Amino acid sequence: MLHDVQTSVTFTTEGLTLEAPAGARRAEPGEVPDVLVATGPVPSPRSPRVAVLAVDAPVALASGADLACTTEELNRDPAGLLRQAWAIRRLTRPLADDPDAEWLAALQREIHADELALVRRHTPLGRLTLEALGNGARFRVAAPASAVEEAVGLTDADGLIGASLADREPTWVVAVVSRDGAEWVRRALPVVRAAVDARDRATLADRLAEARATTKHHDENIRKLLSVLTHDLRNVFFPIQLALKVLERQIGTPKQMGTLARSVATGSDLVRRLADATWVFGGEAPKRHPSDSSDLAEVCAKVQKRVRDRYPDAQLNIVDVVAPKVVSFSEPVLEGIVHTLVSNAVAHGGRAHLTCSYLPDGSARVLVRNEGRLPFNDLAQIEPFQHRARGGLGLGLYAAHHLAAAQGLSLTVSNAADGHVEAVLTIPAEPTAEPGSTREAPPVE
Amino acid sequence: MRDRVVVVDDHEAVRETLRDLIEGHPRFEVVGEAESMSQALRVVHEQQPNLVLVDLILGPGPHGIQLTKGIKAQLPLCPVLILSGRHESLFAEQALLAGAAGYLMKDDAVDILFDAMEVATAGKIWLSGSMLRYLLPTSIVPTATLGDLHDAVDRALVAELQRGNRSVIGLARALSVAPPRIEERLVAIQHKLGLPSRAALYLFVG
Repeated sequence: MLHDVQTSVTFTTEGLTLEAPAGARRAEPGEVPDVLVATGPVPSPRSPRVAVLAVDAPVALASGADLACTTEELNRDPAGLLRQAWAIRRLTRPLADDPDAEWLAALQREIHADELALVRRHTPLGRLTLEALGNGARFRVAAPASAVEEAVGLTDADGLIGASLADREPTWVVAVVSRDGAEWVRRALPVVRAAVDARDRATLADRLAEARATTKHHDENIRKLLSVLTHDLRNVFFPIQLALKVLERQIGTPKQMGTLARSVATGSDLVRRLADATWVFGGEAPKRHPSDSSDLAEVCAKVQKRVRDRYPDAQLNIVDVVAPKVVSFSEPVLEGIVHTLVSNAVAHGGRAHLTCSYLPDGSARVLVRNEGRLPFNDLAQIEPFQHRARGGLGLGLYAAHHLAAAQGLSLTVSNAADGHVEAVLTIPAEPTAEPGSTREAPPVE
Repeated sequence: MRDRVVVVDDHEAVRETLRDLIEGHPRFEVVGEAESMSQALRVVHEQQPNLVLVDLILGPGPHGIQLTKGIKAQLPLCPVLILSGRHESLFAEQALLAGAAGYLMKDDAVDILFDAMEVATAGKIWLSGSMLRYLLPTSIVPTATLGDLHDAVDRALVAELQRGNRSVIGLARALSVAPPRIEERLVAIQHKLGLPSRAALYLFVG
């Protein structure tokens, strides 16, 4: 129990008479008291150990007194005020100067093991100390300034007499309690926990922000690498394409030329997909520009050429229905999306139909239908390599979804009633005021 | 007599294959190659070509748009075609404003290169359909015609633009007018015609 801990406060007086109350004794001659009770200015110099209780001298607070009161208050509760002055003085002294380590040990004996363990868990750096102080206790917690408000806010609810930022360092929160009994020690713990939690949260928030910045930096580096790689790959394929043109002129188109041409077309195609993926994974899928304009007939023609260069034997039927064909969206993005849908259909299904149609409301609809047997679910996932025989990685469709969303278009993929896969790209007649967000692509149905 | 072409690209394989392809065309011959801006300006000065093909990215140094300005300052009437792996929506307008006669993406260039070269050597601008629609949308209705330009400098400016002289320095030299006045008149003409941009003006006039 705390009565095992020294509770007696020694005092001297200056300018007034005070009988020693219970729990306090007058200091012996030559003994440095715990508290000086004075009516005048704070003596200087003074021992940092000595608390000053100024009586009927409020201005003494400004000159270094630890506590001020009236004569009437002093007569009413001299022991309490002496202890309070002493407690406040202790708070302003660095811990290293405090010789009363036995108090801390005594208090630690009083607190249950699980409570102490709880507090210790919150302070892995060991910066929390508990000290016994008369029949009060002092807690110091390393916490950010925001924790001060939190600790102070809990003060009244927990019945603490006061909480103050006693130390000049902004990272310390000190709760001062001065009630008897071990009960208030347990009550003080929520304050400490709140302060520790606030500190931990701030630390976690700092670490999270740091981790986010690091991740963003890494992502930016990856995006730059992909961008440079895409550019450099184009410079590999461009001269090959030029050389093929020269060879065609010189030697015609033997079978090997066809093989070369298809391989180059495949490589170029993959580079374009890499560029699309770089946009999407870098969070930079292009948004619609007010001046964007595309001729769907030209888009379909370009897609047809790219697909046939890569898959000469593919069966691709294009049905283009009635003008107007110009829509207010980016041509390279539309071409990229439609090409992904068509090449998916051709690569995994063998045959594809591409239909452009126009609805009464002025919107356009591009339908790509494959007649293969690709299981639909594979299109929605990025599969491990061992399943590549059944389907692709799904990456192209993923990128297509995000590109479409960034432009404010709608892309859905579903199983038709006859089991074939249908992809529908809906192009609104009038773009919406806000382009689609790249964060949430339309779900695959 | 064939049109004389200089090829500028920092990749040797690109220069070689472009040369081989162009040499096979009856209308063009390659008279010089370069891999950097400084080398290109020297070759252009020496060879006085009818057309220069310029890669947009020339290694770590100055890029094709800066080179275009340099070439146009030397030879205002020599068309410059920019080839690039970068998408036209990113750089085509800048290229036009620098005085280029066209912007070709390498993904498409193999099939359209000679068409673009013929258009450029005729003093016109070559751009893809989508870039044309982007820079000069059909919704734009000019508020005046070229015949409504009465200022002598303006009419001379338009004539130079139609010849393919599209750099401010080249125009200033041709008309013996200071470049700031050229800039001022180009802006005035653009506004008089009700066009949204300088690039649109070049397209409209050319």
